[in-house]
Amino acid sequence: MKNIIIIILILLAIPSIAQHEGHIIKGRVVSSQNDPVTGAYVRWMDKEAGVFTDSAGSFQIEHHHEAPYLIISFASYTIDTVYVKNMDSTYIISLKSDNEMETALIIGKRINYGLSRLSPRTTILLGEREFQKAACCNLSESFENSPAIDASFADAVTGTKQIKMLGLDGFYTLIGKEYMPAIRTLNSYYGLSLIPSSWIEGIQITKGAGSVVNGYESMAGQINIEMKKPFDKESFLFDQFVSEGGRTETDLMYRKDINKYVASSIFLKGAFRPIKNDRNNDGFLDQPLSKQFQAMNRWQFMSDKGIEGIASISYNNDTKEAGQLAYYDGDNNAYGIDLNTKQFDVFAKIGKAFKDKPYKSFGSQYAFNNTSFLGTYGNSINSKVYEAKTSSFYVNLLYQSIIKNTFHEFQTGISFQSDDMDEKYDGFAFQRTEIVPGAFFEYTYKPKETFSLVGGIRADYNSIFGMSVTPRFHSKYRFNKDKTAIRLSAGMGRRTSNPLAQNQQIFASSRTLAFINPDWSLPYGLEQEVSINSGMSFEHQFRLGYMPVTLGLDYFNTSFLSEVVLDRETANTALFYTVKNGTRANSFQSQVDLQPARRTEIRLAYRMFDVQTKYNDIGYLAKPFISKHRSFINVTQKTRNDWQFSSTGTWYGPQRIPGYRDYVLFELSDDYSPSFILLNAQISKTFKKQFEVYLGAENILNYKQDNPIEEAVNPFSENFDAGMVWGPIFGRMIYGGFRWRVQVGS
Amino acid sequence: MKKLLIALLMISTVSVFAKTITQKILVKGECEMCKDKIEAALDIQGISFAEWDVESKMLTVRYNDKKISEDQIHETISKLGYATGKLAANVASQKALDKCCQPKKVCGTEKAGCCSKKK
Repeated sequence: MKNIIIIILILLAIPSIAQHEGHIIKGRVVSSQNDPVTGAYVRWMDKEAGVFTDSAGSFQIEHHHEAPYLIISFASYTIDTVYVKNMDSTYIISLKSDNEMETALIIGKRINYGLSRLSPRTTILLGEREFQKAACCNLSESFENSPAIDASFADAVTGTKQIKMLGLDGFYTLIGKEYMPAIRTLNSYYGLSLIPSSWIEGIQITKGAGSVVNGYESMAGQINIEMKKPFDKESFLFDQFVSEGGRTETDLMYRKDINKYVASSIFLKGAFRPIKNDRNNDGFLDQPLSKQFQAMNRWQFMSDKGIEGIASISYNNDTKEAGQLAYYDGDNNAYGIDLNTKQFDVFAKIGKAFKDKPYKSFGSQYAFNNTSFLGTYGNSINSKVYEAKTSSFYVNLLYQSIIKNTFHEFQTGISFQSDDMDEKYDGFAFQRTEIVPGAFFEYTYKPKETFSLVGGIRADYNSIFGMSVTPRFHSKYRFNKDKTAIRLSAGMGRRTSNPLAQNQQIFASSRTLAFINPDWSLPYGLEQEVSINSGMSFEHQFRLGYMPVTLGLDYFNTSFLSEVVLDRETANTALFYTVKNGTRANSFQSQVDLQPARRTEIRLAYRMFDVQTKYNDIGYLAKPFISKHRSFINVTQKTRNDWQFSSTGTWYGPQRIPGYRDYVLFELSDDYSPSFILLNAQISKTFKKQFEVYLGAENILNYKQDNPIEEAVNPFSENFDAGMVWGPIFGRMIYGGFRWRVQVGS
Repeated sequence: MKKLLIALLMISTVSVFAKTITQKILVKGECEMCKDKIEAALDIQGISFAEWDVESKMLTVRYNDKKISEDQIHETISKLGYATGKLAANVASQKALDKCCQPKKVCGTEKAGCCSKKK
């Protein structure tokens, strides 16, 4: 019995339409006599949910990044493990009996963008190639080609882009690294800019409520970032980026197998902006001078007994200087900004799978973060200082199994989150320690691959806010020969607001901060934010003549039961207060993906956000700095000799600018920004599949917001404000660089 | 200026459609692996799109008839080892194919690979 050789032939199966789907691994399980094995169970190591082979021994399973080990089991056969070492979707893997693993032979091509087929949630997968179409260099700048996310500047001085999803600020989206909460509290404003794109393997964007397993903080959605892993195929990376304006970014990565069970990788990044630019002649630097240093070390191990783990330690140091040119020429009366972020992170995951019970596994996740931030706004005579420190610790213990058979799966576990926050700004001092133990249970009814129902609930005890219960619900149905899918979701979300840390654009202004009707027994005197999100999505694949087309439509609504509002409607003030039954955000998106030729891809999208926020004494107003309408086109053309041409055009509709209200006449004279178009293009050429050179231009039409800083001539006056930004600041930017990637065995 | 650039962007896309013929050709392949081989072999000058359907065995191909003729497409497929509706397979290439990509009568009664399972 043990000598039976199971040969798995992962068949070449990439219909061109599959490029619009997730990574689907297809394969066959056959015995040593080459007979098809029917009813063998194939699953990923850390997931009990798997698939059975059909009468021909064939199976299909969606690629899973977290633990890329396929486990194959069958009553009378030895269980075997296949290490799927790459995201490529085509494999020929042969296995021998006693768990001897052989390297996968990779033939297939990568799938870079698509809606996840098997997920019960509306999840978009972005592969590395997809965000390489954007200019550079960190995650905050990597969403330019994904219509699901809006990325724009929130202030005119720090050069950091903030994201919005479903019409809500990025901090309402749970952003995690490998399913552990990462970008939150003090890191909400600058966190995304400290994740280098070159270090990322892929991103999953989930619209609407996420799984209860990952906590209660996903209110608008969830973004999961998979970093490159020590067991990945890519063994060396050297990327260099240079842009007009003097920005340079260098990324390095090296990985090594220590032995059969352990591998390690080291990542380094240095980013510099040493040149002062003031193209709009407002006396302020258009982009900050910056120095960034980042390092990460990862370790991954796997044992023959089904134990697998990954651990990372990282350190980031980011220094930015911004403000008036005169400040750097030694003018003591000029306005300057100095910012420093120090971030230290440790995170680890350990899991165990059971060979005799392939549906069962244990997992544990641990994350520790320590961040300190110091921001000085002004000059040596007159300045405001924001000084903040945070330490957070997170543990999540998970158990997955089935009830009677694999139609009924469940995940359950307990979690622990603690946050220490210490902040001082302009006479305010806030300190809090928030400890949240919790428990969760998620049940999945999956009678077949095309239908699933997921119900999840979690209960948490928050040391400040007390008990809370968070239910979530998801369902998926695919029909019409798998060409059409409908998904429904609904769920609650909640978070503790960090009004200062997440709205740092208000520091670069003369606005006076105030907390209205505070309850000082709570952090910042504000209540926890609670929202209900519900939505549906529709996906349909069809032919336009010969041409494969994917159509996607989705609608989501987020309604806040309790919300912390930033109110900049009154001149010279920034007010924070709790509002009951606040913002109502409706989001509709339609997207069409066309493939007129083998190497031509066209993506057209339109999205509409209708977001109404309730302000004290005013009532409902459109949420500021959100384009109600946005449309998008991307055309990518590749050639046989590895050239790639990509161009993206985005039209942004008008955005409401807060504070332009005439209270004397009680007239609603809201001011709106003009609409504008951003056009980006990039050309790249890859040599020997290893070395890619690229040249691109952002904002080709050279569109600029006229006065991104209000009262820039007099930054110490009461009307100074660098936080009223709705458009590009720098204008056209030419950039170029190379990416050098070496893969094992190539 | 803006509109001009956008128009250019659209035209560059549309130019892909010009002067092309879309045609269906019967190709006697067997399985998903054949599909990938056929589509990869037709990734040549003059052909902008090629997709073969396992169930119907029909190939949808779009080509520029100034750069490649229909006969040349049949020849390319034949040389790869597959028969088309017009042309028999090149025998040597056919024998060199993986067992599962050969027609049943060529690979015999052996129950190997996907020869045992005809879709």
